[in-house]
Amino acid sequence: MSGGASKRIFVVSLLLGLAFTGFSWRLIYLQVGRHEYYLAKAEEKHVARKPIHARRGMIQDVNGEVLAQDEPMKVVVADGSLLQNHEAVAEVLSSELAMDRGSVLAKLKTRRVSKEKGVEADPSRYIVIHRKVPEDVAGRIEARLSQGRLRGVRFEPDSDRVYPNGQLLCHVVGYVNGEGKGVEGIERNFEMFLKGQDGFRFIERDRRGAELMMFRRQERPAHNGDNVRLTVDLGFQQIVERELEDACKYYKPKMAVAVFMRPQTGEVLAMANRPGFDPGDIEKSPMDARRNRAITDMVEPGSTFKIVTTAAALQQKLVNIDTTIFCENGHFLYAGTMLKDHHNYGDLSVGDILVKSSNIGVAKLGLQLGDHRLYEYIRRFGFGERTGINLPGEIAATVHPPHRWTKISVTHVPMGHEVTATPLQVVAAMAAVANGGKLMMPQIVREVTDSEGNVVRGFEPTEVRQAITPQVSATVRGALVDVVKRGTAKAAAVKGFTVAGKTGTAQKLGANGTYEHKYVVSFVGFMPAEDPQFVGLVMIDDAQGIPSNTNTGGGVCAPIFSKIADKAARYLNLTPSSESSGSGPSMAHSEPIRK
Amino acid sequence: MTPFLRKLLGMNWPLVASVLFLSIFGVVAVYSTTYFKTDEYWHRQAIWVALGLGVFLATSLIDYRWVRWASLPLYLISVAAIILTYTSLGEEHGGAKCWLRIPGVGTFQPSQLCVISGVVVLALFLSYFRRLPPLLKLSLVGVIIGGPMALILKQPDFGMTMVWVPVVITLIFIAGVPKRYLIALLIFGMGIALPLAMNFGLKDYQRKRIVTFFDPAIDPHGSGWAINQSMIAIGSGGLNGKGFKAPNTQIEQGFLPGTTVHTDYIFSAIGEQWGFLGGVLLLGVFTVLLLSCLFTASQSADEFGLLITAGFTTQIFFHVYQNIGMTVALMPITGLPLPLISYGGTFVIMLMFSLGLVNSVWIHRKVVPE
Repeated sequence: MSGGASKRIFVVSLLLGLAFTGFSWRLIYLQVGRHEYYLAKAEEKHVARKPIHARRGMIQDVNGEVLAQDEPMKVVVADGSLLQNHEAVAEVLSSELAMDRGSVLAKLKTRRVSKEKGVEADPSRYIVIHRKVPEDVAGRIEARLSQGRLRGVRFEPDSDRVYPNGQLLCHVVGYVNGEGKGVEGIERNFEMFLKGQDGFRFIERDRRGAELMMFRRQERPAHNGDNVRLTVDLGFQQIVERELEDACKYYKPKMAVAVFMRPQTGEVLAMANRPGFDPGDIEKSPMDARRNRAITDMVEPGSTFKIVTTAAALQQKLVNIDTTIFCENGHFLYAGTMLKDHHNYGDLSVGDILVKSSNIGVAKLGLQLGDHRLYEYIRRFGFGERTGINLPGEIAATVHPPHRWTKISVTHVPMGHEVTATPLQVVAAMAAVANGGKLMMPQIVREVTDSEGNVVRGFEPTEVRQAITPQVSATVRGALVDVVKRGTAKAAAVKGFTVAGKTGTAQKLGANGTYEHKYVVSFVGFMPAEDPQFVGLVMIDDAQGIPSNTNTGGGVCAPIFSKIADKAARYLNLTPSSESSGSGPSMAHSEPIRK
Repeated sequence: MTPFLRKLLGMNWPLVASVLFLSIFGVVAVYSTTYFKTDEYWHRQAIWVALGLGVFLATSLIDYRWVRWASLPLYLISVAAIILTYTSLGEEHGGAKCWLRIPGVGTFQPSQLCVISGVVVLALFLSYFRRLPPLLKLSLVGVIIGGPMALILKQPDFGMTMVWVPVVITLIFIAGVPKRYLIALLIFGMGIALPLAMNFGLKDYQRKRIVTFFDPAIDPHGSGWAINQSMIAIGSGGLNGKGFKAPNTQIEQGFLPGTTVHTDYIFSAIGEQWGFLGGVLLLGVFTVLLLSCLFTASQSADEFGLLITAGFTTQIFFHVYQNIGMTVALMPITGLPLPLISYGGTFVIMLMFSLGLVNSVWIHRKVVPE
């Protein structure tokens, strides 16, 4: 290459470098030197951002019955610069909206306020008179205003969350806050899907406020929220709620919980709590009533926990169902502590320990298992960890590891003391006994679909683990059938069906850590025992007005279960089995003894 | 080592790296200016860049001397295509009829091809007829480019017309025309051609744009609107910028006209989102690109290689200079895209072709021709 050309190239490079240096200097001037100035300019709003409202998605039951949906409403807005006859407009608005005429008039005369100039003489151009006005009312106002030739009022779209089924399933559905954001239940956990995305349109105005069509801005359409379909069957839920309501009227308990689930898949069919609340009117209900106690409360499971101990001993082949265990005639001194049974038993088979709910029998099974194996089975049944249900606020409850146990724990834990569980955990553990040993993750949502009905997200049944072998689960099922046939839960029987289940009665711990004369009683069972269609739990906390000897799982909760199961069998169209003759009906429908 | 592999490994790597960076950054920038409206633009830009990189690679590996044979036909075709834009086949965007609709393919801007092939033809001419007297040489150059320039100015596309000026001046400067001729040409241009062009050659809005360049605040909603908005966007970006896809930017709110924010005003969007640091990074990469082009020119095996490289470099430089200069109010408003960054298929392909030729000049620099 000639030297001349190289020199010329060098000159060109120099010029290039100079030019770009000029740009960098200019950028420093604009972006660093005058940054504040331009930032202020950018924030000056010539632009009105008009939102386009997105509709929040629906919450539906498994059959598509609507539990929560958005209803279109209107916001009544006045434009002060267009109002002429303030009095007449105030008259129309106050009568239709049931507002005080004077306050409406004061609102209409609102003056414009700006940051720089404070309150100005010009009337405000955007005065919100009333939000959430039903469309028919808005229509009437519009008609009356146009009749009177009155200008200056317009209607903007708004919406309100409505819960057509009221208190039904309120703890699962949850509710939204004043801004329409989900704060509890499905409304909260599925906020991401339900909320949708508001669209917007930017409009620029000139100094006179007229829209500059030339500078028409970006527009984005609203994207409506997705719909959430639950696994809950509203028909089933209604049966459960009605029976729970009746029971609550009778026993006036501190709280009551009922959970029903399909054992093979873990789908929750019904979940009810008392006290309840109206999600459409949350202001009126105390915080305490809004808790979904099926997952946020921990209670000592009591005797229902004996299933875990028995299944563990059977699976470890320490005993078989007919092995006899000496039950010490009702008084068993272990490590300096006396353990008692309600009735005094001598020799009982392992099956009969469940049937009679013998504390001493099950404590001896616990001793045979030892701390570590007992703990292992408790965890295998899912206690001490969250079930993973898609609802907010679930707790793990407490199961202490063996190194924190005392000498006597191994005799107390087997009968459901010194451990706590949520009602849902108990149901999930019972479902594992019912379905052949698989611990299923409880499911509450079947699928999420978009507004056109396409599935956005589906939920499949999830097996957590095989807790016990199918053989052991069948053996325990047999014993649980006996519990209902001739044991503590005779009142749970249903005519035409074989019910299996276990009662539980736990004394409540008072504030000072000693047991009070208050009981949490429960029954957890499934039906039909040969081919379980549902597993359910009924729990009543601190039933009032009955003697303590009838305030037991068998006396209080088993009859409620029986009534629910009887109606549910009809609702689900179950075929009665021929072999079982119910000793049930007379018991199931008899009134509990009142004091 | 096979010759093919040697070629592949002997590429001008700083050039390749900056081309890759800029074209990918371009897709990101196009996305950031249009994602809230539609995905169509950045999808298409991504496809064009992918195709363009193919063109770049292919052109790099072919000996640039072959392009001599194609240059004159291409130039004639492009001039014919420019003439066709005056017929019903031409398509209008924003008042300028610069595009040609090819049924089933899309639109195409023939003036882009015209500049590229024009550079090659001029390089060919200047390297073949070294010995001609300077005045005759200049006149013949005028003959070669005068017609297309006038046609492009009449479309009207003031920006693309202006591209010719620095390109031609650089070419004749490098080709060794004595300096006094160049100075005379510049004086002639400034003194006679510019006022003439201002009065007769320019459309009303083009004249207005040049006037408002000197005082953008004259009429914020008129000709100075876009430039003011561009400065607000860049200035409000500050040192670090508002962030990629930041909400409520001037771009998202559409203060910069939505039809040009992803093309002519894309630097304003970059300045707002990535701030001074992003803007300087972009300028830095452009500098790497242009310097590696110029270094290639200085190393080229023959005068033809030197001239085409210098021509393309000047063209790209002028585009960058004019486009960024416009967004920061250092230059009058003309619709010139930012190379490899702005949305637009024809330009990406053309640039990749010309940069591929530059790379080819580098790869084939050691081989003596014929």
